[in-house]
Amino acid sequence: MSRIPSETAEYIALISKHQAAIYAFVRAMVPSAEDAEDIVQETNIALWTSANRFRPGSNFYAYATRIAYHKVVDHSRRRKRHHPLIVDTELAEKLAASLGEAAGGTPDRRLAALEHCVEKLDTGERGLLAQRYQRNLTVRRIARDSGRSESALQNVFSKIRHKLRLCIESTLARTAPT
Amino acid sequence: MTREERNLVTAAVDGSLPSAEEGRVRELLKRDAEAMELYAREALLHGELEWHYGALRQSQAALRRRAEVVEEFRRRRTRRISIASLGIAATGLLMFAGLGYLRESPEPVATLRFNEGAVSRLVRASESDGKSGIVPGDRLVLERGTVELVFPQGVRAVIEAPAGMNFTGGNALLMDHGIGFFEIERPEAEGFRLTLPRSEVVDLGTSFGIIAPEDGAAEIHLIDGRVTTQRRAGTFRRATDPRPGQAYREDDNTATGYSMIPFRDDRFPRQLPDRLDHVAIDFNRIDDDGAFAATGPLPARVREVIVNGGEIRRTPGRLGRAVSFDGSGSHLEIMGWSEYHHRPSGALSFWVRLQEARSERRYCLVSWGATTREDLGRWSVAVSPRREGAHLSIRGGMDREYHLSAASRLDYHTWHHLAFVFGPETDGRTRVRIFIDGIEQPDSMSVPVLPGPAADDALIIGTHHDPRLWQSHASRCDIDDLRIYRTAPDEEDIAILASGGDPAGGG
Repeated sequence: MSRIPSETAEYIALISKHQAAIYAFVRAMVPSAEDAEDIVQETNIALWTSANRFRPGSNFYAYATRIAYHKVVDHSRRRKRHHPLIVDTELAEKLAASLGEAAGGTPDRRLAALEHCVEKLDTGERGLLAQRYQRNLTVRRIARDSGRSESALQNVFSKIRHKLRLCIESTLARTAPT
Repeated sequence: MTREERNLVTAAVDGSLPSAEEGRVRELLKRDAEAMELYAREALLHGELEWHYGALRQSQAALRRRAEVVEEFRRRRTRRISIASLGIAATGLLMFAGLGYLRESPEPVATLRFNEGAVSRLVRASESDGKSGIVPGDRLVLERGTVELVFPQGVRAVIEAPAGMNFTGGNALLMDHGIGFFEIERPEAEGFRLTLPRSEVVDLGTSFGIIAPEDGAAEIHLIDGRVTTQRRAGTFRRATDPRPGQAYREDDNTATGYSMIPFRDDRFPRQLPDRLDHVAIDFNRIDDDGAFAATGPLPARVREVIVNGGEIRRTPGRLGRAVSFDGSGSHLEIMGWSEYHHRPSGALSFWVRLQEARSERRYCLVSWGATTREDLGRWSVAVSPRREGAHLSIRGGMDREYHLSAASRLDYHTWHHLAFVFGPETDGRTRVRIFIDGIEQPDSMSVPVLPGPAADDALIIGTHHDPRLWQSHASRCDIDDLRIYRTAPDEEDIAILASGGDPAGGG
């Protein structure tokens, strides 16, 4: 059996480690999770076929999200399906840059930090997140089922995300490799 | 950035921004760097949460599959034990042990009936031969569809997925989540006890509905008669006795542990849904992303594929809105429908209105089935335009093509209802019956059973230029109300469909 060269194995590991980060980047720019999944797949193929263009040691997230950005543009043009807010190139470019900044220097470690921080939420907050993201219920549906107003629930989700963001930042700072 | 603007940005991330506000948020993102930064931060976390919970969902599905494998293993093992016991019983040596086993088998406490297409898992409390009915300790998880439970004492319940329940006795049920309707059909069942995670409901001769979410407060809606309900844990709380037409939700902030909410009689399933369970794409429903939405128990997705800059227009249809194909080759793909494939029987029904032909080139209306294995499993329905009307033909895989007789002709500019009913399968062949405008055609045929579609094989409305598929030209027609049935409708059902009705009674 042939062995995978070590640089190829490292490149595969980079693609694999950044899957959540690439998905989150793409998802912010397209209207649905299905579109995002399709584009992540296309990005993975492009990353694989352009492996020789990546310089080891350079910023993989920046490299991968640049490819993902072009895939988003292609996909939206082909399918004639745009994110309702991101309808022109100027805005898309701005958002891509802001997403890069928001992801910080260690986008590949954010998911582990997020998992840790979700566990630290109280039961009610975890329950709401599970309804929203695991069962894919809309905020409106959760509001209706729980007898709350949609705007009140939106505030709750916003607070939960704020809490998670603070926790992720402090976790990443605490566990930064020295 | 104002507080209101912040709220609009977070609403956009949550997918609950009213479309009337989209322009405003777009402008805000363009001109305000702070708004863009907030949107990016929130959207990034939103995507990460989707990823995290999506991965969780997949690992839970893997665990469920593992549980099913364990269950199947236990079932087979039990069957082997039974067969072995029978052999040895002939010697008389272990007959006593066998009788002992039979004596130990608990009495069944309920019978179950599912609607067509329901998906459930039954986790047995003990190794039984699977024929002994539901016994105390058995657990039922209903992932899709509806189940009817009948308890021997006289309680009948109809519960919708997603639901989970444990059977605790002949006149009791523990339901951890689900939406259910309960009624007492005989007086001896009075005292039926329904245990929810945080409440206990005792039925005193009545019918009532329960909404118990997986995470959150349960609701008790009293339709008729009398129940008493009490919180299970926490402080000592007196029982609450709703009156008919009243509803209560668990609430930790009140003395009784419940607060009154609006009564909803229409929310509860009284009967199992009709056998004609189907997925429908009626082109009237548009989802939040502006795409057509399918309705039915499957998460079928509708994708528009634009070819040569063509257009799939919405047009007044036979029943509401229809789609119109302009001859460019643009088409629709229905993804996620494969579980609804017609095995061993089923049907496809839709309305079509042909535009006047510009040439006699054949084009496809609908195709479905497997695209793999060199087109072996693909069905295609096509028309060949002629001056006097269009002739219908079907290709059913294996390079077989069936041209229907001249009687099966479709007029231009007129809505026609087409239905293809498959099954049953016998000796490796499937019977296919073809109905035009509710009338069965003499061309019904028996064809080899074709392989079923894979999860990513689309059902295509219009013509799809895929070299693996039957070559045909771009469609020029309008199509409306396409339905995929998992059970074969009969002639009467087809006649109802062809008259614009709904044999499932769904309206």
